[in-house]
Amino acid sequence: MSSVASTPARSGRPTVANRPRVGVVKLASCDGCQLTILDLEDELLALAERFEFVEFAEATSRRSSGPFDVLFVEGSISTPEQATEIVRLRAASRVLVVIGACATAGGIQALRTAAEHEAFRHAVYPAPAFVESLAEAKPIASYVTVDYELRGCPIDGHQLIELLTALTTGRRPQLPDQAVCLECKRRGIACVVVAKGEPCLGPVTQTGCGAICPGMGRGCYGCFGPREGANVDGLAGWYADGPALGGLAPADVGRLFAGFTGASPAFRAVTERLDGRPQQPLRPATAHRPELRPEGVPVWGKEAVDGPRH
Amino acid sequence: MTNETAPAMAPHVAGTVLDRLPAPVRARLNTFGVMHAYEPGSEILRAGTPAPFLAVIERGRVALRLRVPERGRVTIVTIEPGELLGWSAVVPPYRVTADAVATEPTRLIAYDASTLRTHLGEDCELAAALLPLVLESVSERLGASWDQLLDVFGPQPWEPW
Amino acid sequence: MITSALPTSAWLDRAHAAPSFLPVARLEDLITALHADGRRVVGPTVEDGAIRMSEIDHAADLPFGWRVTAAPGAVRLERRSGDDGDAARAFDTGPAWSGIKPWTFPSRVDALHVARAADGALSVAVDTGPGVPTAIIGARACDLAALSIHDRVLAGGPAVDVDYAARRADLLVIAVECAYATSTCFCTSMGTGPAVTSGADIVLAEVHGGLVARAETAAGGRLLASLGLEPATTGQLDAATSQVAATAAAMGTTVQTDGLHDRLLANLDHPRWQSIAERCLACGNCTAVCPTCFCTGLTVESDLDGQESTSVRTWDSCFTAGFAQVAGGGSFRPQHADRYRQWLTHKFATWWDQFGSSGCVGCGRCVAWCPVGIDIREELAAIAGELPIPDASAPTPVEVPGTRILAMAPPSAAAATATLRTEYVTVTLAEVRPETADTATLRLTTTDPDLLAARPGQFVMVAVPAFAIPPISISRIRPDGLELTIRGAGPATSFLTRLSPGATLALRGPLGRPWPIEDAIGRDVAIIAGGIGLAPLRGLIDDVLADPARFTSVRIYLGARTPNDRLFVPEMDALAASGIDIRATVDRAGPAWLGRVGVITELFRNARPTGERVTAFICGPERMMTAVADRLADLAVPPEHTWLTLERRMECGVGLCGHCQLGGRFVCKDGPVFSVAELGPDLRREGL
Repeated sequence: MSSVASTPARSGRPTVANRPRVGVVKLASCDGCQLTILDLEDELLALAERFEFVEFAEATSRRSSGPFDVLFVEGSISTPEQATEIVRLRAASRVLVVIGACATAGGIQALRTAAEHEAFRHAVYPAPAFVESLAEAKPIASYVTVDYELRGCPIDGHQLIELLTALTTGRRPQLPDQAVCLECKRRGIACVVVAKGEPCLGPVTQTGCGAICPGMGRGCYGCFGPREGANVDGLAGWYADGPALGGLAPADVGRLFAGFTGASPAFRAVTERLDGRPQQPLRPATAHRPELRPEGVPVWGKEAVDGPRH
Repeated sequence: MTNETAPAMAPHVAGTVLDRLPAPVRARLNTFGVMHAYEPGSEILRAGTPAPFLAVIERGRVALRLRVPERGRVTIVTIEPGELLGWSAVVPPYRVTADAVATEPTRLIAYDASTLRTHLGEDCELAAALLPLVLESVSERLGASWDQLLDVFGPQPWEPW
Repeated sequence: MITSALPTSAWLDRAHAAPSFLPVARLEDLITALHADGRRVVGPTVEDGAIRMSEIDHAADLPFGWRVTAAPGAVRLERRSGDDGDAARAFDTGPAWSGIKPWTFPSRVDALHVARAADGALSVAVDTGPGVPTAIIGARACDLAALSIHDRVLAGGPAVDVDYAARRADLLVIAVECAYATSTCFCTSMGTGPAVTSGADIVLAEVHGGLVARAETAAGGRLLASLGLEPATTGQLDAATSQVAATAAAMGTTVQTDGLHDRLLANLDHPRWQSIAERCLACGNCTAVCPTCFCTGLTVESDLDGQESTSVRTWDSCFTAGFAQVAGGGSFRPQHADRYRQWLTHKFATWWDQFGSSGCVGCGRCVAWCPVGIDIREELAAIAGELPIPDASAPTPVEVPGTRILAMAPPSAAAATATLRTEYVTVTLAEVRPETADTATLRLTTTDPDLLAARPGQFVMVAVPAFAIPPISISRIRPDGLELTIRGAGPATSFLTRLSPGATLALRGPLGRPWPIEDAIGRDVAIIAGGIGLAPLRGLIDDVLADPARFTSVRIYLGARTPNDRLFVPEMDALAASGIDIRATVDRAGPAWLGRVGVITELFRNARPTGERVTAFICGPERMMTAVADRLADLAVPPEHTWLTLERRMECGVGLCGHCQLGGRFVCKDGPVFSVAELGPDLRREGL
């Protein structure tokens, strides 16, 4: 296990000079995970005292190309530039932590994996020639070795603090691989499947979120991705045939698994088996061309042309 | 050196495995047994060469070693007094499978390979009694090798604490 | 002691104080009185579309007019119709899904605070519960049966869960007899209800216009007396009696409990376990809603500097992979089928072996709240025998069973008398002696009499801030302290091996069953150690050699991975030089090593089967121990004289967390030392 502390737990508080260098970078993503870090209002000062954030686009205009003691990477690999950039980032990082559903499972953009890439490009971009994108949006672990992953869409901020604490003290981070159900029941939330017939992916999804969705009376949509040994067929079969949900159509069951972590092998297998893939072909982009800004830059094009920083 | 005086579970002072042969068979075998003595460090068998004999260790210790280019010679197992050495003498293709090196002053009783094979071909009683002992020895070393593969004392990939 | 002549109804039993009648309108007075007594009041409420036990302020918070229909995996709440007044009753809902467990045994409590001050001094504080006096209104017979089981498991010794004990001491229970059962209820089968026979301070039964109430304890009597109620009428008591009998009759018998323990354990290899695993999601919902499931795990929450931490105890579940995870990353129950089997056999079979009762109270929550509707009643019938075919046309008179669970004696009187300590003692690290590249011996000084009275084979839990609390076996007991020999393989153990003399750490113990040296008196002793397994045997070697004349012979067999991995080499060499028969082998070696090479069982290769007089003590990785035990069996060493020490995941060390269960045992409390005869087939059974 990697550690960023040379004398774990006996070093006391690091001085300003020897603070571990931490970076937060993004690839193809929405920045939501970065915002989650910024939402840790009670802990931000303590974090900033102990870690030097040398790169964190949502928080500081400071820029660094490394090296990093700990680098958090948000987003999937969706463009050729990103595929190159991640190799450089890996080399510049002692501990590489991938954060969020995009970085750990491909994210919502990985749904295009199941579709015709060119059709997608033409449906989304008015001028696809300007957009270089890969046929598949893949998790970062498909390209480089990752040391830790924090899942979720977005991540849970306290899991990030737990990871940083574990790295500085030299202990193993406590990131549970249990089902959401256990956390849901600990919170005293009645099962939404049983009590309301709400489809919920909690039993097959890794916890860490605090059972947010069942806590709001709705089903888990699996943003933390499949848990250890997820019995996805058992759950899908029950939703399609069991009395709890009144019998969903198989394709609807398949679509339950086609969300933010729908490209994970366990979930994708269900979607494909039950034919819950996105409908295609898509209509061409000309049918609903986005509004153009005065200078003529397509609003939707920003994300994809925004290549990696150096 | 008899079984009767050997304490239970005391392998290094027990009688040899050949004590389990019927007395007449043992007598016929011993007509061509030859005592060999080796100084520590001397090579008894060399891997890849034709097997010269089947032997039973009378005293000392013999290390079976494999040559690993990156690691030099690695001892896979040691053969202790009373145990068989050189089973390849009776198992085709009659070629030695590992280097055998004495690590202590060692004496063994050797039975010439071709003489033994001739006897085995003619003396069914000898074959019926001796070959199971050889197989038992091979089987034990195979089982022990499996256990070594597991490396149960080695570092584990994950520790709870 | 089983009471043979339970009254058919406690309501008509003259031995009780005369029941009184609490009109619906005066329920509020009852709650006010409880509040005035300084208690928070917990009762059934409608929440998230289900009935949950929650804190209530007023009687109006109770689920008046609601009813629950439950099928496996589908529970619905509906308004009752009708205008005879009974449709508005408060307690005709069936059991609340949450039960009362969250109030007596919360899903999350702070268990331990460990802090290191700037001067290095270590402080350890064990949390002892909040001590908030609580009254529960609306507990059911199944809830009370579960409570009595928790009393036995968590507070019945040898170790006591201090948080539970504190909550329990301040608890006042007002139970309600069920006049309605859902289709998932089966308390009649388990003999726990629906009549309430014990465990409550006050028992209520809801009848037309209000509730009949009888006090079962002095506190309950005082509370009822303070309300100044009228006595209940004979008609009201008859109604209470007949409605609970009707509830029982409606449930019938859906689980055949006669011989279930043996039938279940005889079917550990039944193909049905695999078929369940195809349906079971291993989500843990059943364990969370089960009122008797008590397994917990510890997580460490520390400050960013790792100088201060809180061990938080949360509900855990035997359905998770991490629950039985041990060194190597493997789990003792890798498959869902293993985990389901563990759960079901524990509830209905091995619970009896451990605690003298069933672990199931028949509340049916695991049936109703399984998200895929797995019905344990069906599974039990399929695995452990057929269900009888109910004859609908001939209703048999149902005797309302008493609470059998309460009448059972604990399994071992001796176990209940000894107490296991749950507090920590701070000790000083006097010396760190490296043994191998990754292993060190820590010499600790203490004057604590309990620690100094430790015996070989026992272990201690070792706490330092920020790290998980590992169980570490004691490798030597000295007049002034203990030695712990630790392989730094994980984060916590690595941290411990890197400590410097003068450091303080906190120990809890000694724990566990020691090596039974007395079993070897007058016999041949064989001590067989593999790898780090020599550490727990070192104290035994000390003890044996302190007076070797007690034994007819002593032999020590040592196995290690390589010559460099051998432990205590100078010590063992000195023993050999003094004439002790020590044989060592290593798994692999370079040419410089002139000793034996081969796995440890090779040490017995030519041994003769004359081991009847041998008592063997084995410690090492489990695979090595079973291989040695097999070989010793070939050599006629009796299984009852073959002792080994098991490794399982342990979080508490005193039989409270449930992690180290092996069949009907907790390895921490009943072991870790067992004889091969005691373990029987469980030693080798996969996935137990």
